[in-house]
Amino acid sequence: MMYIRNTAVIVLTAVIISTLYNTFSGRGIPWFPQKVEVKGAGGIARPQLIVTAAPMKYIEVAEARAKYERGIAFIDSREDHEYEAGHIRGARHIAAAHSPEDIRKSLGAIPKDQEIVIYCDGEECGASTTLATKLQSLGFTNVQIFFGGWTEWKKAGLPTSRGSKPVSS
Amino acid sequence: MQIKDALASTPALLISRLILGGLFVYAAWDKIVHPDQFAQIVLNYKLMPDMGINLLAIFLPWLEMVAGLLLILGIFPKESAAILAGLLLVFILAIGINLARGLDFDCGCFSTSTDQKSASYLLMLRDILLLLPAVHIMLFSRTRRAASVPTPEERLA
Repeated sequence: MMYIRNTAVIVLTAVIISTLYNTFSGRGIPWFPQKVEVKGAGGIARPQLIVTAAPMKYIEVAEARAKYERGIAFIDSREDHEYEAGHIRGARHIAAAHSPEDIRKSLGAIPKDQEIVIYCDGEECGASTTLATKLQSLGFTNVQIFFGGWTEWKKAGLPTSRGSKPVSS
Repeated sequence: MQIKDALASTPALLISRLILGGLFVYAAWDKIVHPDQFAQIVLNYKLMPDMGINLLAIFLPWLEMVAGLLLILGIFPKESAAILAGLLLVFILAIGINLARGLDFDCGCFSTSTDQKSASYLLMLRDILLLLPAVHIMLFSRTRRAASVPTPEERLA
């Protein structure tokens, strides 16, 4: 009986502390995720689950193309071999799995309020959201996710490149 | 029995408590400081029903932290170890299921990458090995009420 009581005390302590922390620490997240409709391939709206506090901006291929033409920075969040096999021309590579410290190093001197577009494979892929969440934690305020990703970009016949550099020479 | 005495000894139990408690405090810290990233990972595992994801991401790291700290301090060692053992079993199961599915946790997608697979196997191995100090503490640790009051084991001796 003592074991049950002690265990309950431990769990209750964790419940109380976690509730207070999430409410008052300034690092809290919403108690429940939000469902957001995002337009994917062919204008079909898909529900996306947002777990973070800061809103995630999703863009589709037309807007991605417009930003590309304006020279906005693109980041490929997939793995090394996927990036090397083919990526959006000029896109930098930062795999979603990298630690925030490595990410900060890769981004170098990019100002925190600069517009950045992140993509991964396409609609099924969470790597772009994972990387975007990490960038937000680092203080980047203008992070957007190109929802259709590599799949949509290729389908639209937009500029691509191969190899381990953003633009192959 | 010499082995049993060695296992029941204070230094042996201290080592187990420090390893298990220390690792969990260390692991919990990052999740507490970045709950949004942890929530994203829980989402990527595709095992938790949607509405419970954030509650889990908010609560679990603190359970790890509290149990880990209590273990290091030697307070309620059996119960803390039992809680952490329970969590380890859940993690092992979650990683195992997703290895079988071929799911990549960082992206929440199905990936054939071997990098991710070996990282997952290593995590699972680590969690299985951590069950050892947990069981050690649960079997041999004594929860004393007061120094002068004999524990149930002592009364039977």
